[in-house]
Amino acid sequence: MSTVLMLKQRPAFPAAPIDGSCLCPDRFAGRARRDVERLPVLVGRSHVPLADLFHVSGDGTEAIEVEGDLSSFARVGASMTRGSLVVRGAVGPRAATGMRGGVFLIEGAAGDHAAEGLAGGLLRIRGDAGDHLAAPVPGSPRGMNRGTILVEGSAGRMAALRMRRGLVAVAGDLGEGAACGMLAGSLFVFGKLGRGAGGLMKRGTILALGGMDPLPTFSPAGTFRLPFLEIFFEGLVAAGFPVPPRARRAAYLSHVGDASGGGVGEILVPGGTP
Amino acid sequence: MQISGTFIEDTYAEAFTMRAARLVITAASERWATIAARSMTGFATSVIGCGCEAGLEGPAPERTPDGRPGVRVLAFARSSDVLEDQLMRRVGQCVMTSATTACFDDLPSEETVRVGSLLRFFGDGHQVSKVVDGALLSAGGGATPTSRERRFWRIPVMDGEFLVEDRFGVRKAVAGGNFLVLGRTPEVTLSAAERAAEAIRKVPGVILPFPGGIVRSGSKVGSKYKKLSASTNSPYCPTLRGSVKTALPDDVACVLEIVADGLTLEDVRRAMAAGIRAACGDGIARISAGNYGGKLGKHLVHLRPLLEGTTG
Repeated sequence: MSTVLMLKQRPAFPAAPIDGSCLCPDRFAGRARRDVERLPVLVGRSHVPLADLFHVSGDGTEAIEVEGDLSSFARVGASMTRGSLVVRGAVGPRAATGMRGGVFLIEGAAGDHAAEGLAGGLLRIRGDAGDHLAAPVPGSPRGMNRGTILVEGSAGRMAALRMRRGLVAVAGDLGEGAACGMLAGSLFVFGKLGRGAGGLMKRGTILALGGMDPLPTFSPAGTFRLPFLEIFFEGLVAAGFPVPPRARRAAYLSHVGDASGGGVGEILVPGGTP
Repeated sequence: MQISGTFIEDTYAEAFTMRAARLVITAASERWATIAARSMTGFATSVIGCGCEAGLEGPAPERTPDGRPGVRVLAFARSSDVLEDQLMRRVGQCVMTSATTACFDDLPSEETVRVGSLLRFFGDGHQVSKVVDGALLSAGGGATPTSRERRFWRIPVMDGEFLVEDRFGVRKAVAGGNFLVLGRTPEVTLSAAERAAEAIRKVPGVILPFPGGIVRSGSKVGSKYKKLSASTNSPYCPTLRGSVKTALPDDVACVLEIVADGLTLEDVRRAMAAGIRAACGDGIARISAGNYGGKLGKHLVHLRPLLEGTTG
Protein backbone atom coordinates (compact mmCIF):
# COMPACT_ATOMS: atom_id res chain seq x y z
CA MET A 1 0.00 0.00 0.00
CA SER A 2 1.51 3.32 -1.05
CA THR A 3 1.26 6.71 0.55
CA VAL A 4 -0.30 8.96 -2.10
CA LEU A 5 0.27 12.72 -2.21
CA MET A 6 -1.58 15.08 -4.55
CA LEU A 7 -0.28 18.59 -5.07
CA LYS A 8 -3.07 21.00 -4.10
CA GLN A 9 -2.06 23.61 -6.64
CA ARG A 10 1.13 24.46 -8.38
CA PRO A 11 2.76 27.05 -6.14
CA ALA A 12 3.60 30.41 -7.61
CA PHE A 13 7.30 30.18 -8.38
CA PRO A 14 8.99 31.54 -5.28
CA ALA A 15 12.29 33.40 -5.15
CA ALA A 16 13.93 30.20 -3.93
CA PRO A 17 12.71 26.71 -4.79
CA ILE A 18 10.72 24.84 -2.24
CA ASP A 19 12.82 22.29 -0.37
CA GLY A 20 11.22 18.96 -1.24
CA SER A 21 13.69 16.82 0.68
CA CYS A 22 10.97 15.60 3.03
CA LEU A 23 9.44 13.73 0.07
CA CYS A 24 11.50 10.69 0.84
CA PRO A 25 10.56 7.15 1.94
CA ASP A 26 12.97 7.36 4.86
CA ARG A 27 11.01 10.30 6.26
CA PHE A 28 7.58 8.76 5.69
CA ALA A 29 8.09 5.19 6.82
CA GLY A 30 6.36 4.31 10.06
CA ARG A 31 4.59 7.64 10.50
CA ALA A 32 0.85 7.98 10.90
CA ARG A 33 -0.93 10.04 8.27
CA ARG A 34 -1.32 12.93 10.71
CA ASP A 35 2.43 12.95 11.35
CA VAL A 36 3.12 12.87 7.63
CA GLU A 37 0.87 15.88 7.14
CA ARG A 38 2.87 17.75 9.78
CA LEU A 39 6.26 17.19 8.17
CA PRO A 40 7.88 20.60 7.75
CA VAL A 41 8.60 21.88 4.26
CA LEU A 42 10.94 24.80 3.80
CA VAL A 43 9.34 27.39 1.54
CA GLY A 44 11.55 30.40 1.15
CA ARG A 45 12.65 31.23 4.70
CA SER A 46 9.78 29.63 6.60
CA HIS A 47 8.52 26.13 7.25
CA VAL A 48 5.00 25.09 6.38
CA PRO A 49 3.35 21.73 7.07
CA LEU A 50 3.27 19.27 4.21
CA ALA A 51 -0.52 19.30 4.33
CA ASP A 52 -0.50 22.94 3.19
CA LEU A 53 0.88 21.80 -0.13
CA PHE A 54 -0.40 18.24 -0.61
CA HIS A 55 -3.46 16.10 0.03
CA VAL A 56 -2.16 13.02 1.83
CA SER A 57 -3.80 9.60 1.53
CA GLY A 58 -2.79 6.77 3.81
CA ASP A 59 -0.23 6.40 6.53
CA GLY A 60 3.44 6.86 5.85
CA THR A 61 5.06 3.91 4.12
CA GLU A 62 8.25 3.16 2.22
CA ALA A 63 6.31 3.50 -1.04
CA ILE A 64 5.33 7.05 -1.98
CA GLU A 65 3.44 8.28 -5.04
CA VAL A 66 3.22 11.97 -5.73
CA GLU A 67 0.82 13.46 -8.30
CA GLY A 68 1.64 16.89 -9.66
CA ASP A 69 4.23 19.12 -11.23
CA LEU A 70 7.06 19.49 -8.72
CA SER A 71 9.32 21.56 -10.96
CA SER A 72 9.46 24.27 -8.29
CA PHE A 73 10.53 21.74 -5.65
CA ALA A 74 14.26 21.18 -5.12
CA ARG A 75 15.93 18.15 -3.55
CA VAL A 76 12.99 15.80 -3.93
CA GLY A 77 14.05 12.37 -2.72
CA ALA A 78 17.28 13.72 -1.26
CA SER A 79 19.32 11.19 0.73
CA MET A 80 16.79 8.40 0.24
CA THR A 81 18.16 5.01 1.20
CA ARG A 82 15.24 2.62 0.69
CA GLY A 83 11.75 2.10 -0.60
CA SER A 84 10.26 3.66 -3.70
CA LEU A 85 9.29 7.16 -4.70
CA VAL A 86 7.26 7.87 -7.82
CA VAL A 87 6.58 11.42 -9.01
CA ARG A 88 3.95 11.63 -11.73
CA GLY A 89 5.22 14.86 -13.16
CA ALA A 90 8.38 16.93 -13.41
CA VAL A 91 10.74 17.67 -10.54
CA GLY A 92 13.01 20.64 -9.92
CA PRO A 93 16.75 20.86 -9.32
CA ARG A 94 18.85 18.47 -7.26
CA ALA A 95 16.37 15.63 -7.23
CA ALA A 96 17.80 12.49 -5.63
CA THR A 97 20.82 14.35 -4.34
CA GLY A 98 22.77 12.09 -2.02
CA MET A 99 20.52 9.14 -2.82
CA ARG A 100 21.98 5.87 -1.48
CA GLY A 101 19.31 3.25 -2.10
CA GLY A 102 15.78 2.46 -3.18
CA VAL A 103 14.07 3.30 -6.46
CA PHE A 104 13.10 6.82 -7.53
CA LEU A 105 10.98 7.16 -10.67
CA ILE A 106 10.32 10.57 -12.19
CA GLU A 107 7.61 10.38 -14.84
CA GLY A 108 8.44 13.82 -16.24
CA ALA A 109 11.61 15.87 -16.60
CA ALA A 110 14.22 16.51 -13.92
CA GLY A 111 15.99 19.80 -13.29
CA ASP A 112 19.69 20.55 -13.08
CA HIS A 113 22.01 18.68 -10.75
CA ALA A 114 19.77 15.62 -10.52
CA ALA A 115 21.43 12.74 -8.67
CA GLU A 116 24.16 14.97 -7.32
CA GLY A 117 26.47 12.81 -5.22
CA LEU A 118 24.37 9.71 -5.85
CA ALA A 119 25.85 6.69 -4.08
CA GLY A 120 23.37 3.90 -4.64
CA GLY A 121 19.88 2.95 -5.72
CA LEU A 122 18.10 3.42 -9.01
CA LEU A 123 17.01 6.80 -10.38
CA ARG A 124 14.86 6.63 -13.46
CA ILE A 125 13.82 9.74 -15.38
CA ARG A 126 11.22 9.23 -18.09
CA GLY A 127 11.71 12.71 -19.51
CA ASP A 128 14.79 14.87 -19.95
CA ALA A 129 17.37 15.73 -17.33
CA GLY A 130 19.05 19.11 -16.99
CA ASP A 131 22.71 20.03 -16.75
CA HIS A 132 25.15 18.47 -14.28
CA LEU A 133 23.39 15.13 -14.01
CA ALA A 134 25.18 12.95 -11.44
CA ALA A 135 27.58 15.73 -10.52
CA PRO A 136 29.76 15.69 -7.41
CA VAL A 137 28.40 17.49 -4.40
CA PRO A 138 30.13 20.88 -4.14
CA GLY A 139 33.69 20.45 -2.90
CA SER A 140 33.82 16.71 -3.41
CA PRO A 141 36.61 15.25 -5.55
CA ARG A 142 34.34 12.40 -6.67
CA GLY A 143 31.04 12.33 -8.43
CA MET A 144 28.54 9.52 -8.56
CA ASN A 145 29.77 6.53 -6.59
CA ARG A 146 27.58 3.42 -7.18
CA GLY A 147 23.98 3.20 -8.26
CA THR A 148 22.20 3.41 -11.59
CA ILE A 149 20.68 6.37 -13.43
CA LEU A 150 18.43 5.76 -16.42
CA VAL A 151 17.33 8.76 -18.49
CA GLU A 152 14.84 7.93 -21.19
CA GLY A 153 15.00 11.40 -22.71
CA SER A 154 18.06 13.57 -23.20
CA ALA A 155 20.32 15.26 -20.68
CA GLY A 156 22.25 18.51 -20.58
CA ARG A 157 25.88 19.47 -20.22
CA MET A 158 28.56 18.17 -17.86
CA ALA A 159 26.87 14.92 -16.92
CA ALA A 160 28.74 12.34 -14.84
CA LEU A 161 31.49 14.74 -13.85
CA ARG A 162 34.30 12.89 -12.01
CA MET A 163 32.12 9.80 -11.83
CA ARG A 164 33.67 7.10 -9.65
CA ARG A 165 31.41 4.07 -10.02
CA GLY A 166 27.99 3.00 -11.31
CA LEU A 167 26.04 3.30 -14.54
CA VAL A 168 24.44 6.27 -16.27
CA ALA A 169 22.41 5.38 -19.37
CA VAL A 170 20.83 8.04 -21.56
CA ALA A 171 18.48 6.98 -24.31
CA GLY A 172 18.57 10.34 -26.05
CA ASP A 173 21.31 12.90 -26.55
CA LEU A 174 23.82 14.14 -24.02
CA GLY A 175 25.35 17.60 -23.93
CA GLU A 176 28.94 18.78 -23.95
CA GLY A 177 31.61 17.82 -21.45
CA ALA A 178 30.12 14.53 -20.30
CA ALA A 179 32.19 12.35 -17.96
CA CYS A 180 35.00 14.87 -17.65
CA GLY A 181 37.54 13.65 -15.11
CA MET A 182 35.79 10.28 -14.97
CA LEU A 183 37.50 7.99 -12.46
CA ALA A 184 35.60 4.80 -13.29
CA GLY A 185 32.10 3.57 -14.04
CA SER A 186 30.07 3.45 -17.22
CA LEU A 187 28.25 6.10 -19.25
CA PHE A 188 26.10 4.81 -22.12
CA VAL A 189 24.62 7.31 -24.57
CA PHE A 190 22.37 5.91 -27.25
CA GLY A 191 21.82 9.27 -28.98
CA LYS A 192 24.35 11.95 -29.87
CA LEU A 193 27.14 12.76 -27.46
CA GLY A 194 28.36 16.35 -27.21
CA ARG A 195 31.91 17.58 -27.63
CA GLY A 196 34.64 17.15 -25.07
CA ALA A 197 33.34 13.94 -23.52
CA GLY A 198 35.83 12.12 -21.34
CA GLY A 199 38.27 15.00 -21.02
CA LEU A 200 40.86 14.16 -18.35
CA MET A 201 39.22 10.81 -17.66
CA LYS A 202 41.40 8.26 -15.85
CA ARG A 203 39.39 5.05 -16.22
CA GLY A 204 35.85 4.08 -17.05
CA THR A 205 33.80 3.50 -20.16
CA ILE A 206 31.88 5.91 -22.36
CA LEU A 207 29.72 4.26 -25.00
CA ALA A 208 28.54 6.64 -27.71
CA LEU A 209 26.19 4.75 -29.97
CA GLY A 210 25.40 7.89 -31.97
CA GLY A 211 29.10 8.34 -32.62
CA MET A 212 31.40 11.20 -31.69
CA ASP A 213 34.82 12.63 -32.39
CA PRO A 214 36.96 11.89 -29.35
CA LEU A 215 39.41 14.50 -28.17
CA PRO A 216 42.84 14.25 -29.83
CA THR A 217 44.23 12.93 -26.54
CA PHE A 218 42.41 9.61 -27.14
CA SER A 219 44.10 6.92 -29.24
CA PRO A 220 42.23 4.35 -31.33
CA ALA A 221 42.95 0.83 -30.03
CA GLY A 222 41.03 -1.27 -32.53
CA THR A 223 37.58 -2.74 -33.02
CA PHE A 224 36.28 -5.37 -30.62
CA ARG A 225 33.21 -7.23 -29.50
CA LEU A 226 33.15 -6.79 -25.74
CA PRO A 227 31.11 -9.38 -23.82
CA PHE A 228 30.78 -7.17 -20.73
CA LEU A 229 28.55 -4.73 -22.64
CA GLU A 230 25.96 -7.42 -23.13
CA ILE A 231 25.65 -7.86 -19.37
CA PHE A 232 24.68 -4.23 -18.98
CA PHE A 233 22.38 -4.36 -22.01
CA GLU A 234 20.62 -7.41 -20.60
CA GLY A 235 20.04 -5.57 -17.34
CA LEU A 236 18.78 -2.48 -19.13
CA VAL A 237 16.42 -4.43 -21.35
CA ALA A 238 15.10 -6.38 -18.37
CA ALA A 239 14.42 -3.04 -16.68
CA GLY A 240 12.44 -1.91 -19.73
CA PHE A 241 15.02 0.65 -20.86
CA PRO A 242 15.06 1.23 -24.62
CA VAL A 243 18.34 -0.27 -25.84
CA PRO A 244 18.59 0.10 -29.64
CA PRO A 245 18.95 -3.31 -31.32
CA ARG A 246 22.00 -2.11 -33.24
CA ALA A 247 23.82 -1.73 -29.92
CA ARG A 248 23.56 -5.44 -29.19
CA ARG A 249 26.40 -7.79 -30.06
CA ALA A 250 27.98 -5.04 -32.13
CA ALA A 251 31.63 -4.35 -32.69
CA TYR A 252 32.93 -1.13 -31.18
CA LEU A 253 35.93 0.97 -32.04
CA SER A 254 37.74 1.67 -28.80
CA HIS A 255 39.56 4.95 -28.16
CA VAL A 256 41.80 4.84 -25.10
CA GLY A 257 42.55 7.91 -23.03
CA ASP A 258 42.55 10.59 -21.88
CA ALA A 259 46.34 10.78 -22.30
CA SER A 260 46.37 14.20 -20.74
CA GLY A 261 44.70 12.71 -17.69
CA GLY A 262 47.21 9.87 -17.60
CA GLY A 263 44.20 7.64 -18.03
CA VAL A 264 43.23 4.28 -19.43
CA GLY A 265 39.58 5.03 -19.95
CA GLU A 266 37.80 4.12 -23.13
CA ILE A 267 35.33 5.70 -25.50
CA LEU A 268 33.47 3.14 -27.59
CA VAL A 269 31.83 4.11 -30.85
CA PRO A 270 30.22 1.76 -33.38
CA GLY A 271 32.93 0.18 -35.48
CA GLY A 272 33.24 -2.14 -38.42
CA THR A 273 34.14 -5.80 -38.37
CA PRO A 274 36.66 -6.66 -35.64
CA MET B 1 12.79 -56.57 -5.40
CA GLN B 2 13.40 -56.89 -9.13
CA ILE B 3 13.30 -54.46 -12.04
CA SER B 4 13.32 -55.92 -15.56
CA GLY B 5 14.75 -59.15 -14.17
CA THR B 6 17.52 -57.43 -12.21
CA PHE B 7 17.68 -57.98 -8.47
CA ILE B 8 17.90 -54.82 -6.34
CA GLU B 9 19.86 -55.45 -3.18
CA ASP B 10 18.49 -54.22 0.11
CA THR B 11 21.31 -51.80 0.76
CA TYR B 12 22.08 -48.12 0.58
CA ALA B 13 24.45 -45.61 -0.93
CA GLU B 14 26.34 -43.35 1.41
CA ALA B 15 26.77 -39.78 0.20
CA PHE B 16 28.59 -36.83 1.66
CA THR B 17 28.04 -33.12 2.18
CA MET B 18 30.36 -31.01 0.06
CA ARG B 19 30.54 -27.43 -1.14
CA ALA B 20 29.49 -26.80 -4.73
CA ALA B 21 29.78 -24.03 -7.28
CA ARG B 22 27.99 -23.74 -10.59
CA LEU B 23 29.64 -21.95 -13.48
CA VAL B 24 28.46 -20.82 -16.87
CA ILE B 25 31.18 -20.79 -19.49
CA THR B 26 30.36 -18.89 -22.67
CA ALA B 27 32.28 -18.50 -25.88
CA ALA B 28 31.90 -17.51 -29.49
CA SER B 29 30.39 -20.96 -30.12
CA GLU B 30 29.08 -23.79 -27.96
CA ARG B 31 31.94 -25.88 -29.27
CA TRP B 32 34.53 -23.60 -27.69
CA ALA B 33 32.57 -23.32 -24.48
CA THR B 34 32.48 -27.12 -24.33
CA ILE B 35 36.20 -27.37 -25.04
CA ALA B 36 36.91 -25.07 -22.12
CA ALA B 37 34.52 -26.95 -19.83
CA ARG B 38 35.98 -30.35 -20.70
CA SER B 39 39.48 -29.04 -20.12
CA MET B 40 38.48 -27.54 -16.77
CA THR B 41 36.79 -30.73 -15.57
CA GLY B 42 39.25 -33.18 -17.08
CA PHE B 43 41.16 -34.19 -13.97
CA ALA B 44 38.39 -33.80 -11.44
CA THR B 45 37.04 -37.29 -10.89
CA SER B 46 37.45 -37.65 -7.15
CA VAL B 47 38.36 -35.45 -4.21
CA ILE B 48 40.64 -38.26 -3.10
CA GLY B 49 43.27 -37.34 -5.65
CA CYS B 50 42.05 -34.37 -7.68
CA GLY B 51 41.13 -31.75 -5.11
CA CYS B 52 37.61 -31.48 -6.46
CA GLU B 53 34.99 -33.31 -8.45
CA ALA B 54 33.66 -31.49 -11.49
CA GLY B 55 31.74 -32.15 -14.63
CA LEU B 56 29.78 -30.70 -17.47
CA GLU B 57 26.17 -30.36 -16.31
CA GLY B 58 24.75 -29.47 -19.72
CA PRO B 59 23.95 -26.52 -21.93
CA ALA B 60 23.69 -23.13 -20.30
CA PRO B 61 20.28 -21.57 -19.79
CA GLU B 62 18.80 -19.91 -22.86
CA ARG B 63 19.96 -16.48 -21.78
CA THR B 64 23.56 -16.40 -20.70
CA PRO B 65 24.90 -13.24 -19.04
CA ASP B 66 26.68 -12.09 -22.19
CA GLY B 67 24.15 -13.51 -24.63
CA ARG B 68 26.57 -16.02 -26.18
CA PRO B 69 26.31 -19.80 -26.33
CA GLY B 70 27.54 -21.57 -23.25
CA VAL B 71 27.59 -24.59 -20.98
CA ARG B 72 27.10 -25.22 -17.30
CA VAL B 73 29.71 -26.79 -15.06
CA LEU B 74 29.38 -28.03 -11.49
CA ALA B 75 32.36 -28.33 -9.16
CA PHE B 76 32.40 -29.94 -5.70
CA ALA B 77 35.05 -29.83 -2.98
CA ARG B 78 35.35 -30.65 0.69
CA SER B 79 35.41 -27.01 1.83
CA SER B 80 34.91 -23.53 0.47
CA ASP B 81 38.64 -22.81 0.77
CA VAL B 82 39.55 -25.83 -1.33
CA LEU B 83 36.84 -24.97 -3.83
CA GLU B 84 38.18 -21.43 -4.17
CA ASP B 85 41.66 -22.74 -4.81
CA GLN B 86 40.45 -25.31 -7.33
CA LEU B 87 38.26 -22.83 -9.20
CA MET B 88 41.04 -20.29 -9.37
CA ARG B 89 43.42 -22.87 -10.83
CA ARG B 90 40.96 -24.51 -13.19
CA VAL B 91 39.29 -21.34 -14.49
CA GLY B 92 42.68 -19.69 -14.78
CA GLN B 93 44.45 -22.52 -16.55
CA CYS B 94 41.63 -24.02 -18.59
CA VAL B 95 38.94 -21.42 -19.22
CA MET B 96 40.95 -18.24 -19.48
CA THR B 97 43.31 -20.01 -21.86
CA SER B 98 40.49 -21.17 -24.15
CA ALA B 99 39.79 -18.91 -27.09
CA THR B 100 36.89 -16.42 -26.82
CA THR B 101 35.57 -17.66 -23.46
CA ALA B 102 34.01 -15.85 -20.51
CA CYS B 103 33.09 -17.34 -17.13
CA PHE B 104 30.16 -16.46 -14.86
CA ASP B 105 28.69 -17.48 -11.52
CA ASP B 106 25.42 -19.39 -11.84
CA LEU B 107 24.64 -20.24 -8.22
CA PRO B 108 23.14 -17.35 -6.25
CA SER B 109 24.23 -17.72 -2.65
CA GLU B 110 25.15 -15.68 0.38
CA GLU B 111 28.41 -17.57 0.67
CA THR B 112 30.88 -16.82 -2.10
CA VAL B 113 34.46 -17.59 -3.03
CA ARG B 114 36.91 -15.48 -4.99
CA VAL B 115 37.71 -16.38 -8.58
CA GLY B 116 37.99 -13.32 -10.82
CA SER B 117 39.16 -11.46 -7.77
CA LEU B 118 42.28 -13.67 -7.79
CA LEU B 119 42.69 -14.15 -11.53
CA ARG B 120 42.59 -10.43 -12.28
CA PHE B 121 46.25 -10.06 -11.38
CA PHE B 122 47.11 -11.85 -14.61
CA GLY B 123 46.14 -8.55 -16.22
CA ASP B 124 49.35 -7.04 -14.86
CA GLY B 125 47.64 -3.83 -13.86
CA HIS B 126 45.64 -3.48 -17.08
CA GLN B 127 42.63 -5.37 -15.72
CA VAL B 128 39.42 -3.39 -15.39
CA SER B 129 36.45 -4.15 -13.21
CA LYS B 130 32.84 -3.51 -14.11
CA VAL B 131 30.11 -3.54 -11.50
CA VAL B 132 26.49 -4.14 -12.37
CA ASP B 133 24.54 -2.54 -9.58
CA GLY B 134 22.06 -4.54 -7.54
CA ALA B 135 19.48 -1.84 -8.24
CA LEU B 136 19.66 -2.52 -11.98
CA LEU B 137 19.57 -6.28 -11.45
CA SER B 138 16.45 -5.99 -9.32
CA ALA B 139 14.82 -3.42 -11.63
CA GLY B 140 14.13 -6.11 -14.18
CA GLY B 141 12.01 -8.00 -11.70
CA GLY B 142 14.06 -11.13 -12.23
CA ALA B 143 15.74 -10.81 -8.90
CA THR B 144 14.89 -9.80 -5.40
CA PRO B 145 15.23 -6.16 -4.33
CA THR B 146 18.22 -7.21 -2.27
CA SER B 147 20.13 -8.43 -5.30
CA ARG B 148 23.79 -8.03 -4.60
CA GLU B 149 25.87 -6.17 -7.09
CA ARG B 150 27.87 -8.28 -9.50
CA ARG B 151 31.46 -7.42 -10.23
CA PHE B 152 33.20 -8.63 -13.34
CA TRP B 153 36.84 -8.44 -14.34
CA ARG B 154 37.95 -7.66 -17.86
CA ILE B 155 41.38 -9.20 -18.19
CA PRO B 156 43.21 -8.29 -21.38
CA VAL B 157 44.31 -11.37 -23.34
CA MET B 158 45.69 -11.82 -26.81
CA ASP B 159 42.32 -12.38 -28.51
CA GLY B 160 40.63 -9.49 -26.74
CA GLU B 161 39.36 -9.77 -23.19
CA PHE B 162 38.66 -12.58 -20.76
CA LEU B 163 35.59 -11.65 -18.75
CA VAL B 164 35.24 -13.41 -15.42
CA GLU B 165 32.98 -12.82 -12.44
CA ASP B 166 34.65 -11.58 -9.28
CA ARG B 167 33.04 -14.05 -6.86
CA PHE B 168 31.16 -17.30 -7.28
CA GLY B 169 28.34 -18.53 -5.08
CA VAL B 170 28.94 -21.64 -2.98
CA ARG B 171 26.35 -23.89 -1.40
CA LYS B 172 26.23 -27.09 0.56
CA ALA B 173 25.67 -29.96 -1.84
CA VAL B 174 25.74 -33.73 -1.93
CA ALA B 175 28.46 -35.84 -3.52
CA GLY B 176 29.07 -39.55 -3.70
CA GLY B 177 25.62 -40.79 -4.62
CA ASN B 178 26.36 -44.14 -6.20
CA PHE B 179 25.25 -47.58 -7.27
CA LEU B 180 26.97 -50.67 -8.55
CA VAL B 181 25.97 -52.50 -11.71
CA LEU B 182 26.76 -56.22 -11.38
CA GLY B 183 26.68 -57.91 -14.78
CA ARG B 184 27.19 -61.37 -16.19
CA THR B 185 29.66 -60.24 -18.88
CA PRO B 186 31.89 -57.15 -19.22
CA GLU B 187 30.17 -56.15 -22.48
CA VAL B 188 26.63 -56.20 -21.14
CA THR B 189 27.70 -54.48 -17.92
CA LEU B 190 29.37 -51.64 -19.78
CA SER B 191 26.34 -51.24 -21.99
CA ALA B 192 24.05 -51.05 -18.94
CA ALA B 193 26.32 -48.54 -17.23
CA GLU B 194 26.31 -46.40 -20.36
CA ARG B 195 22.52 -46.43 -20.38
CA ALA B 196 22.53 -45.36 -16.76
CA ALA B 197 24.96 -42.51 -17.39
CA GLU B 198 22.91 -41.34 -20.34
CA ALA B 199 19.76 -41.27 -18.24
CA ILE B 200 21.43 -39.36 -15.43
CA ARG B 201 22.80 -36.71 -17.78
CA LYS B 202 19.21 -35.62 -18.36
CA VAL B 203 18.75 -34.81 -14.67
CA PRO B 204 19.51 -31.13 -13.97
CA GLY B 205 21.74 -30.17 -11.07
CA VAL B 206 23.77 -33.38 -11.29
CA ILE B 207 27.13 -34.37 -12.72
CA LEU B 208 28.93 -37.65 -13.22
CA PRO B 209 32.54 -36.79 -12.41
CA PHE B 210 34.19 -39.97 -13.67
CA PRO B 211 35.24 -40.71 -17.26
CA GLY B 212 32.13 -41.32 -19.31
CA GLY B 213 30.19 -41.20 -16.07
CA ILE B 214 31.38 -44.67 -15.11
CA VAL B 215 33.90 -45.93 -12.52
CA ARG B 216 35.64 -49.27 -12.85
CA SER B 217 38.01 -48.78 -9.93
CA GLY B 218 35.60 -48.39 -7.06
CA SER B 219 37.33 -47.99 -3.73
CA LYS B 220 36.97 -49.03 -0.14
CA VAL B 221 38.17 -47.01 2.83
CA GLY B 222 41.70 -47.80 4.00
CA SER B 223 44.49 -50.02 2.78
CA LYS B 224 47.10 -52.42 4.04
CA TYR B 225 49.51 -49.61 3.16
CA LYS B 226 49.31 -46.97 5.87
CA LYS B 227 49.84 -43.99 3.60
CA LEU B 228 46.78 -44.80 1.49
CA SER B 229 43.36 -43.64 2.62
CA ALA B 230 41.54 -45.69 -0.01
CA SER B 231 42.24 -48.81 -1.99
CA THR B 232 40.57 -51.10 -4.49
CA ASN B 233 37.12 -52.37 -3.57
CA SER B 234 38.36 -55.95 -3.25
CA PRO B 235 35.02 -57.59 -2.34
CA TYR B 236 33.70 -56.47 -5.74
CA CYS B 237 36.75 -57.39 -7.83
CA PRO B 238 35.88 -60.55 -9.77
CA THR B 239 39.51 -61.60 -10.14
CA LEU B 240 39.90 -61.73 -6.36
CA ARG B 241 36.90 -64.01 -5.88
CA GLY B 242 39.03 -66.90 -4.68
CA SER B 243 41.36 -64.93 -2.43
CA VAL B 244 39.20 -62.44 -0.49
CA LYS B 245 35.74 -62.47 1.05
CA THR B 246 33.75 -61.64 -2.06
CA ALA B 247 30.47 -59.79 -2.37
CA LEU B 248 29.84 -61.18 -5.84
CA PRO B 249 27.44 -63.97 -6.77
CA ASP B 250 28.89 -66.72 -8.95
CA ASP B 251 27.24 -65.48 -12.13
CA VAL B 252 28.74 -61.95 -11.94
CA ALA B 253 31.81 -61.33 -14.06
CA CYS B 254 32.04 -57.54 -14.03
CA VAL B 255 31.07 -54.60 -11.79
CA LEU B 256 30.87 -50.95 -12.79
CA GLU B 257 29.98 -48.08 -10.52
CA ILE B 258 28.05 -44.92 -11.23
CA VAL B 259 28.86 -41.92 -9.02
CA ALA B 260 26.62 -38.85 -9.06
CA ASP B 261 27.14 -35.48 -7.37
CA GLY B 262 24.24 -33.08 -7.08
CA LEU B 263 23.31 -29.66 -5.79
CA THR B 264 20.76 -31.24 -3.44
CA LEU B 265 20.07 -34.67 -2.01
CA GLU B 266 16.87 -34.74 -4.02
CA ASP B 267 18.85 -34.18 -7.23
CA VAL B 268 21.09 -37.11 -6.33
CA ARG B 269 18.11 -39.31 -5.52
CA ARG B 270 16.47 -38.48 -8.84
CA ALA B 271 19.70 -39.24 -10.66
CA MET B 272 20.17 -42.58 -8.90
CA ALA B 273 16.61 -43.67 -9.56
CA ALA B 274 16.83 -42.75 -13.24
CA GLY B 275 20.20 -44.44 -13.60
CA ILE B 276 19.23 -47.68 -11.87
CA ARG B 277 16.05 -48.04 -13.90
CA ALA B 278 18.02 -47.52 -17.11
CA ALA B 279 20.69 -50.03 -16.12
CA CYS B 280 18.38 -52.89 -15.23
CA GLY B 281 17.75 -55.51 -17.89
CA ASP B 282 19.08 -58.66 -19.53
CA GLY B 283 22.51 -59.73 -18.34
CA ILE B 284 22.49 -57.50 -15.27
CA ALA B 285 22.30 -59.79 -12.24
CA ARG B 286 21.89 -57.20 -9.55
CA ILE B 287 22.23 -53.57 -8.49
CA SER B 288 24.06 -52.78 -5.28
CA ALA B 289 25.54 -49.64 -3.74
CA GLY B 290 28.71 -48.52 -2.01
CA ASN B 291 28.64 -47.63 1.65
CA TYR B 292 30.91 -47.57 4.65
CA GLY B 293 28.54 -48.96 7.22
CA GLY B 294 26.81 -45.62 7.51
CA LYS B 295 29.72 -44.18 9.46
CA LEU B 296 31.23 -41.74 6.98
CA GLY B 297 28.51 -40.08 4.97
CA LYS B 298 25.64 -38.02 6.30
CA HIS B 299 23.22 -39.00 3.54
CA LEU B 300 22.02 -42.59 3.18
CA VAL B 301 20.02 -43.41 0.06
CA HIS B 302 18.33 -46.79 0.42
CA LEU B 303 17.85 -48.36 -2.99
CA ARG B 304 14.55 -50.15 -2.57
CA PRO B 305 12.55 -47.28 -1.05
CA LEU B 306 14.14 -44.99 -3.66
CA LEU B 307 12.85 -47.13 -6.49
CA GLU B 308 9.49 -47.69 -4.85
CA GLY B 309 9.09 -43.93 -4.70
CA THR B 310 9.17 -43.79 -0.93
CA THR B 311 11.74 -42.02 1.20
CA GLY B 312 14.89 -44.02 1.41
